[in-house]
Amino acid sequence: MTIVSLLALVLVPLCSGCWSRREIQDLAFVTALGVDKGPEDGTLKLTVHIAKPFAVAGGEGKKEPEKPFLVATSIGSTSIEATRNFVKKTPVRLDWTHNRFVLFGESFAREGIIDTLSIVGRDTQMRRSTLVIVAHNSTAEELLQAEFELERIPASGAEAILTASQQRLATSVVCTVNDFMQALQAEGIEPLGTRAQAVPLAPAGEKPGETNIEGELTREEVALTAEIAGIAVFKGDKLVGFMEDRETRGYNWIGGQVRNTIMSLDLPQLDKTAGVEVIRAKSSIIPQIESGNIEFKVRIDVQAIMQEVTWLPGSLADEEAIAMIEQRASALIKEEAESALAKAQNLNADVFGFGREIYRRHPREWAGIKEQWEELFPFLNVQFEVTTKLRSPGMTRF
Amino acid sequence: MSMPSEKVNGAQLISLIHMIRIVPVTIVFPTLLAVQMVQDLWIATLAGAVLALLIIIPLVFLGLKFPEQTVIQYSETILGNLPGKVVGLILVIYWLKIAADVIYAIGDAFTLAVMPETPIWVFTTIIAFMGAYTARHGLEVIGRISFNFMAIVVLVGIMVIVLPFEAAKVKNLLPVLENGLEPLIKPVLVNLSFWAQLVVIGMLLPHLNRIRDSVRFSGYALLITGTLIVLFSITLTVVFGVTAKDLSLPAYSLVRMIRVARFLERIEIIILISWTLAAAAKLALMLWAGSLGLVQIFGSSNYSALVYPLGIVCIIAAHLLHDNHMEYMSTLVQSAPFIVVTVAALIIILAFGWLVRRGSDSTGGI
Repeated sequence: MTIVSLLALVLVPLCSGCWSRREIQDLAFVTALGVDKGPEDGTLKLTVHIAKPFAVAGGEGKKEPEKPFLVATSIGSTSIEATRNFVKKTPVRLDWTHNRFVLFGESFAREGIIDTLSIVGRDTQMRRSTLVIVAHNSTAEELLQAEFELERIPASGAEAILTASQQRLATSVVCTVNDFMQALQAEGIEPLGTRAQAVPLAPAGEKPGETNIEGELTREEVALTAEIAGIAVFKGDKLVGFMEDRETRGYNWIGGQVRNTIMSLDLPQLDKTAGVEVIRAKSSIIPQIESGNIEFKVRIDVQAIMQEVTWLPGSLADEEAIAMIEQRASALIKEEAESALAKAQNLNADVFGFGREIYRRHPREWAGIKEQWEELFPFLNVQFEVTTKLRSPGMTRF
Repeated sequence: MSMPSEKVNGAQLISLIHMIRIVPVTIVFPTLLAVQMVQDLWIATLAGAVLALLIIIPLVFLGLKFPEQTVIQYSETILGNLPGKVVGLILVIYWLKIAADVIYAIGDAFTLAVMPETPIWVFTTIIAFMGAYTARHGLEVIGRISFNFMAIVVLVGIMVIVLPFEAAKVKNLLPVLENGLEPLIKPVLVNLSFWAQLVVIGMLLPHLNRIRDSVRFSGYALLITGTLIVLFSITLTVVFGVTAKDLSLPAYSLVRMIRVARFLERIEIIILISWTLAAAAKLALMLWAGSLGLVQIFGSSNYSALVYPLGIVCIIAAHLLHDNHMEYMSTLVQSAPFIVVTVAALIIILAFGWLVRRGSDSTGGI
């Protein structure tokens, strides 16, 4: 027993994990990671947002509000080497556990992102729930200069915008590394990412009122902000193009991912534009294979409520008006879905997973056509059947 | 031979069986490596759990026929002195090999996922010490801790299965069995090779306080554990799809996907708790069974002096047998058919031997 106690005495200090110990004051939390091509061939450049906890907390009596984050860059010939090269510049160790984004510059993404993504899969600190974003028309570094007026930490702001634009406007998609890797490896589907664009704000001039009371009213200058909307379409791991807002909503209609959105409908009979809010939408993609001929039927069912439309009492019967709005809404949805499909077919990237749908429902037929799917997809015939139901007129009937 | 004095109850038997099976599932899940298509995973685990009955039923049946003897002892009764000892020795070596595997799995998992810079022997030594320390206190203590741990392990299991729902896509389960039943053979064999570890209940049954309950409680254990494993397979498939096969530590990766309402996240510590507790309980049971089996082969019953030396042997074996994660996994998968065949052969020999002996006994009686 003495031996056991002695052994325990020796072992217990080892249990505290000396080797891999980290103290919180020695860590710098990365909130976003951007990847670009480096200055020389074969190198890449990483840009990170590092949270500054002392600035987030804010000190008392501070006159100038400090930016709560630091933007740092580093260069290396592999992403992991570049992340390690931050050691040269940051006095504290980078911690990746709270990283929410991996952002790719457009020119970098066009050459393939899988090697960089693989560190997200392999590393023990990064997560597969990290979001994949592609900067449209800019580098990731530029985009990471963006800030949001109403949220001090850009990563939190970007995440809030992304979630909202997906859930309340349907002009965006939430795409995690996990989704990306699955789409990359699965049959009959191509991966995608979220598109983001840098939006420069008007250069700040002399603003009256800024220096009225010293310190108290100084406001942070935001020179650049970001708009997160649209889809970055990949083929394999290489970026091939982007979908705009309307096409993105079309993509979401086809996938049944629209939760809520606003549609503006032209009503020529009333000579006005009506606004309806979609409150529920679902879709089903049905492959139809007959004697080697592949066709798809996509059924989209939408429920909406009226928000912004009037007509004079007596000028139009309720039923007529509702039928007209429903018909216009269905036509618009169909139009958007078709534009999304046309864009994907143009890029020859099956981001919708039509091929996967064949594989899931008719695995035997898929085995026969999967080699030719690339030639088949651009000419795929898809029938859209859209039904819109207006559920409620809102608080007034006219 | 004297009646064993240590007693466990039915609930503890359930928890011990649960620990035996759940450890490889929550850490490395080798069945995943063997499936051709991830969609087939839940079918393979379901089939494995059902086929596990073929291992449990004869064991429990033999246990009922020899209510005061362990599998080591009745194999001598059935097969005679020398062949019985050989069978006993094979079983003891098998249990110690399982112990070494568990030790390595824990060391591997901790160094892979949490503390890559810490030497692996730190973890293997600590877990082996925990297991041996428990084993030395006897089956009653092992039964009690594993019963207490099971509550935590099952709770963590349910969290792991339910909470990643935000990332789940149910359609990932399609298509079902696209290439027919043939690709299922390998994963079912791998799955069965872990259910085969249940031969250790041959050591437990004589210690059950009501031996009649053994049928009922083994059934419950199989039901609970099998259901958890099948549900876990389904969650893995719906969350990770085709990429599930790439994961080194599937359960750990699954916990890392949990993100409920931007609030409940980064809770991978729960799976570490589950690993450590379940592995310690299983290791204790295997070391206990190994040492008791070894002394019983040589006709004694005081096993406690052997526990620590065997623990050290298992640490050394763990490091000698396995080099790195990839090699460890492929060994687990490739040795599966051999283990299943060996265990099945032993059970068939024992059952057949018992039939022959009973036949000769009754003819002798007339």
